[in-house]
Amino acid sequence: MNKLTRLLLCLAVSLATLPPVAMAANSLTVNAQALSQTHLPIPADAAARSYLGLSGSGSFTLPQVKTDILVVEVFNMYCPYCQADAPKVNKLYALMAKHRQSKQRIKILGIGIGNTPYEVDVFRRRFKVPFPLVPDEKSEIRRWVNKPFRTPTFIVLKKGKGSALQIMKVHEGQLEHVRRFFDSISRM
Amino acid sequence: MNTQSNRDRWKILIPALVMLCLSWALPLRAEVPKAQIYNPGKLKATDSGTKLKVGDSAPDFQLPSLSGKKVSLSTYRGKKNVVISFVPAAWTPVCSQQWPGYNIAQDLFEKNDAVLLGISVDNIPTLYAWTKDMGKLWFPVLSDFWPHGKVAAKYGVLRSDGTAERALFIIDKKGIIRYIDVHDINVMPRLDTLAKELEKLPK
Repeated sequence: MNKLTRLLLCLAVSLATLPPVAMAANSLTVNAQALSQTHLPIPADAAARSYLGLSGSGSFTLPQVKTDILVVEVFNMYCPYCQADAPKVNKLYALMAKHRQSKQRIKILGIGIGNTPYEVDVFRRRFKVPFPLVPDEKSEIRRWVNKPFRTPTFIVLKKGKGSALQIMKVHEGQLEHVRRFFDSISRM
Repeated sequence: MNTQSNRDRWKILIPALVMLCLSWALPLRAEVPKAQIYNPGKLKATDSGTKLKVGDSAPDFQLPSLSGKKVSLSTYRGKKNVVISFVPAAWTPVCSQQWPGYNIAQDLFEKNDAVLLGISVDNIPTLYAWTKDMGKLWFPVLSDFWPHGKVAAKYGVLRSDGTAERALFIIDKKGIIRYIDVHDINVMPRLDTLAKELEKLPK
């Protein structure tokens, strides 16, 4: 291989790595500390509280949820994409519930960004959402990320030592392949 | 010898260039296109002054709907309560979510024996294209395009730039205005408030 060929190859390889780098600069990054410190309202529904391993009233933080892996769906009741995605997210929950090991290890929680409790309830009833949904009326969870949330967004968290949450996966937009998404988190 | 060397060079370079092209093309193809929403930035909260007040008779109107039929307010007199939702313009923030929100709250309207009329100053083809992605809307979408914004002006909610306010009117079965909310154009009116106002209507 002469010098020119090597030079061209180097150039090709360098250019080939550029798009992912450029895209990474634009991608959503989640701040685990901000996420862990955000207070969310404890669901009024007893079944939802029990599913999350919470008790009482007031607020909770995500590290308090009793689970190894937590899938957080950031949605908005007014968002047509979240509405269209709702049956798929219900299917994801069904897959988790059906899978014996996953049922114990993985939980899912929806957070209605900018939504009131009433609006979240409209969404829950309309799409018969079987897992807990909580409102984030003041859009506090905006502090988690480096750019505005595109709803729906899915953040997969894994509990580490001392209940510290690790960000394992961030998926922006609708779930196209529910089974594939489930498989990827069930292997974590 | 020289020809052979050139051939070898191209054998390496061509796959490398193909890989290069693919590396650019694939991420671009996987990228979700930006929403086709025009963001006008933060606008003056309200830019009109309705003279209508609660207790007034609601001005009647007739407007073309997306379905092709003309819809008159008076059709509902004595039969249904009416919620009119004026939105500023198609393809703008907030508006593009407000009606999808109402679209999943049909039971709220039905429970209160109310219909919803969505009105925009856009023309029918624009409204057709815009509402297509909202799912199948259960309520009529009316075009107040021509004469431009005539109904919005009648209700005192036509802004100086020709768009409408983000406004809600609740009209009872007798045709009397029971609630007016000329909302900050930049902010989504809460569904809770609308629900509470609908509950106040005589049963």
